[in-house]
Amino acid sequence: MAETMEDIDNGLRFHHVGYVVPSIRDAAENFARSMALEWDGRIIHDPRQTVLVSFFRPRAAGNPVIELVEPVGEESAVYRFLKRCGGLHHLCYEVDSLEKQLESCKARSDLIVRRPVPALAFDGRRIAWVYTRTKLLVEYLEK
Amino acid sequence: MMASTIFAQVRRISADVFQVPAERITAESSPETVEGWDSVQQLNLVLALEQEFGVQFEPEEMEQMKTVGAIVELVEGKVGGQVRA
Repeated sequence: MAETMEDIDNGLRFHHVGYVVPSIRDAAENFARSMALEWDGRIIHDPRQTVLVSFFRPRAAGNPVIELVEPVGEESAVYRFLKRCGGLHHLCYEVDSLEKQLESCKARSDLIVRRPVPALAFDGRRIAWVYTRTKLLVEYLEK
Repeated sequence: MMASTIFAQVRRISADVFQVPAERITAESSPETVEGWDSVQQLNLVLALEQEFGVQFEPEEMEQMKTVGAIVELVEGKVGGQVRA
């Protein structure tokens, strides 16, 4: 994803990689071990996103946080994605202002998939979803 | 633009994106009936539709894209097509 000056002005900073799995509990140990991650065992249910999520933090500085995402029911947005292939799903960036970021995305003709909503996984901080013209699903998280 | 033409175009694009034969795409086709239709592939479909028809979709419109027929209606509404019989 090409950064523009507007993105940098908006405090764009990489936050995590989202990875869809059938079961967080079943995948946790293998993920933590194979990528040297620490897991606190906390799994959060976000009914608005119809998913369970859990964060795995890197032991080594500079490595990314991994978010495992598990669909809750067949109506979950990631249920069919999991059925088709699962795996790598999205990148998440923190920004100062979602409105400013979405304006910048719109100017690049990216798809605004979901407007800003509070997310339980981030203690009510707002997120928005964008799909770029280069076919990358991006979650933006407001600081 | 004729509504039947819009349907034919949407059908062709859907078949390309979901990688199924065009004959299997009907107005009733949905994520439940088309194996390759998941949330990410739906976004690829929206990108392809925007490019083909020179239109833009809002997030609320994308949420209405539950069937091919619903997609055709949305496109018709943007390009001024007639309602398909």
